[in-house]
Amino acid sequence: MLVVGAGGAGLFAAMYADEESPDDLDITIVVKKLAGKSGCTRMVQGGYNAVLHPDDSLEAHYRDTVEGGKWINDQELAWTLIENAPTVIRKLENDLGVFFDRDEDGYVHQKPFAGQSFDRTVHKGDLTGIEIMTKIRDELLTRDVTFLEETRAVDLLTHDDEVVGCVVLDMRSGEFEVITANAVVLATGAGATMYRISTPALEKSADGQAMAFRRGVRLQDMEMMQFHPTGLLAGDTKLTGGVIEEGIRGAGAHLYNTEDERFMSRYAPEEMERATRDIVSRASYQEIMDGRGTDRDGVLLDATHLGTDFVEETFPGMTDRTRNVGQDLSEQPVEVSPTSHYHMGGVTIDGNCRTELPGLYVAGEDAGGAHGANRLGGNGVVDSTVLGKQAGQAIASEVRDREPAPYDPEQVEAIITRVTAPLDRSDGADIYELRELLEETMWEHVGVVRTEEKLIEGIDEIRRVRERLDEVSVSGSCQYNLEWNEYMDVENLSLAAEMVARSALYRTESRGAHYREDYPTRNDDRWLANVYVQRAEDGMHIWDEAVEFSRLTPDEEEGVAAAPPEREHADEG
Amino acid sequence: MTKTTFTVHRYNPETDSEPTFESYDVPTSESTSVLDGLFHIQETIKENLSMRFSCRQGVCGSCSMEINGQARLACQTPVSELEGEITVRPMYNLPVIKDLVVDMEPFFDSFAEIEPSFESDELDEETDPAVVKPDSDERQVIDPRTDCVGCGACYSSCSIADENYLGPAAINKALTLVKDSRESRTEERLERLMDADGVWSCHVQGECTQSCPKDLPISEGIQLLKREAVKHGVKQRLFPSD
Repeated sequence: MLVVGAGGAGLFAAMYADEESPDDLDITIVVKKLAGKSGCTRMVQGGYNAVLHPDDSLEAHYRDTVEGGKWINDQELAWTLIENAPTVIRKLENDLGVFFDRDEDGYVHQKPFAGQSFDRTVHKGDLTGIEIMTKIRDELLTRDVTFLEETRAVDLLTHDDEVVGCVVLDMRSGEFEVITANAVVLATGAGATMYRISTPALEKSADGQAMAFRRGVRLQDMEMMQFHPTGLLAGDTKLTGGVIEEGIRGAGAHLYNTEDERFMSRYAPEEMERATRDIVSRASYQEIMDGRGTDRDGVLLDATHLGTDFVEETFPGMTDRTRNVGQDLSEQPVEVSPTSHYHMGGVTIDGNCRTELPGLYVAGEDAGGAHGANRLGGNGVVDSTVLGKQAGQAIASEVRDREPAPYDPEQVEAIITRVTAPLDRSDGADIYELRELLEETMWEHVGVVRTEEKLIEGIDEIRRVRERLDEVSVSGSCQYNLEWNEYMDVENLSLAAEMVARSALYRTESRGAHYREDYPTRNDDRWLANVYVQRAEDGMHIWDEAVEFSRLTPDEEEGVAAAPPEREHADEG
Repeated sequence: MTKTTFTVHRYNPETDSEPTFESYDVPTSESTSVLDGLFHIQETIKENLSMRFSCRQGVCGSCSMEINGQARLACQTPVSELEGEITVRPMYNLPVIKDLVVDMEPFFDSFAEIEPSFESDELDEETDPAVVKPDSDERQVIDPRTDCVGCGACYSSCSIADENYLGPAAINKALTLVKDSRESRTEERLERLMDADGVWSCHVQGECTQSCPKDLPISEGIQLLKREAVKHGVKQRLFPSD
């Protein structure tokens, strides 16, 4: 079994597979950074939603998740997450020794998060991710699992429409290897970094989504990219985009434009700054686009009226972060902007993380479906850990007797030729300039507020970036070459970016994280549907299918039509 | 914008017999971190520098290096905090792979040495999490020590770290397990920590605590474990197990 990625999803897949099949399953994890130190689960500040309290219920968590997802979640997948979340919490505490925060009586503390009908977010201070990832890495250090660090998966190998392995590159030595496997799990964490301002770790580059697409696997709802409303703006530093947690807005911080206007009064007069992420993000974006933003294209988050001491004591991490870049949240307004945060869309999977391609499993943010059009805060780490568990357990029971077919050396050769081409060129396009162009294009044309015109321009620009990849030259040798690594990242990111833009053009309504200025309302008559994208000979085939309401129907929600949408198909070249 | 000179350790094992230090002028502002400066050298000056990074927010612990002689996270070190030129080299006590990148394997091997996986005789996936009061003695000791990001700054700063000594980070990890009442292998771990290359190797110079970017009280923790080890030793002498 080969696991690609060593964030929450990858490590949980490996751990559960090892538990289910300790003796006869050979588990290898490849990760392009260090094990357990990359990816998004590591960066989780907020916490983990799970039903632990007797007054809470799985049904309530489920309803919150589906309503939050604006009714286009894969209902069975969402149920899998909610049903397994309490088990994984017990696993984390009781088997891995994770220490979550406690109430005074000693029971696990659960805090409120937006969109929840019960306070169910389990956490360890505001460093929940470090605690979870450190403990699982330490657990795996003592198990029979092979880690290949700074080794990137380049492409999947297939034979007769089955996955038989993967071509990987040892970044340190610069050597390619073929790893054959009964099953491959893609858990690389999607690519919210395709935008100029973004929150995730820098290495996330949609590798899993791009690899799946290249082998003809379908992806869904790629237009659903969540923006967090308050990413710190800090000029030319890479820290730009890092999250100032929404707890500070909950505590009473205000947002202002440069005309000293508390602009949320125009967008959400009742909730003001406490409105949901999509609404606050859109409002800030609109202010910036209308010319009422700061010189750095931001708005101002002001917590000073809460008192310097209160801010410093309650939000020490955030205060430190702003001081590090020459601002101080406790003493002055800081510049913030919406920041690309989490990809709800991704590879279509079932409840056991299987894809259409035998042997291929996808877990974590690379997969789509569970969160629909909007993910609730605290459900992300549930996604990575539960889907990791599902994939690991399924693989252990399903593939141990499977003999993978031999791989095709010509396929290997073609993959290596493709990715090494820039090393053989001189005086070509600069990969860092292309990366910047892609990020700008996504921000300006496929951002928080979208229109048909902007999306069409954006798709043209992304296509140009992708064409220019064929002209890129990279200096140096194969060994630990970051420029070459960047080339492979941009290749994958630009492919995923095109899927995002084309899917956004296709969905002619506004829902959750997807806002179309030219179709500003949610249209349940037409769009209670998932948008799919798949590789076609002439480009990308795009179509939609009605959501199956297998557990909850939206007619229980006031004002939502009960009639199922018509199924429509269309092609986008 | 002002200009700051970055002097950077360069070493390519394919072509260099010895490392060299190269200087680069980097435009910097109040918000520029050392990591940003290195990115400028990489992306704008086009030096194709090898370095390690991930989260750029002090969470992953990947970008640790020696900055003006002190082990630090490059992403958490503002240039404005340093005076004059900046010298950047890879961490000490670990083999250099290329430029600023070290092989972290010896560091993580010592984690494996202390059997870092948690084991409980009473708790499992089916049972409810244990009731642990936040003001209990164990939480008071454990809590300030669990935010270790595994960056290796303590290991780089330790004057006695080598392939024999377990090293400050692994011992800090061991302490969080020894003090954890839910954990079942306390005695076994203390045995390991009492070995010559365990807690007794520490000379209490405190460099580990000084350099820790997360302000963990590492040195104090090692002394705490020495006390536990003595108690364990006496107990073993008085009441030898079968």
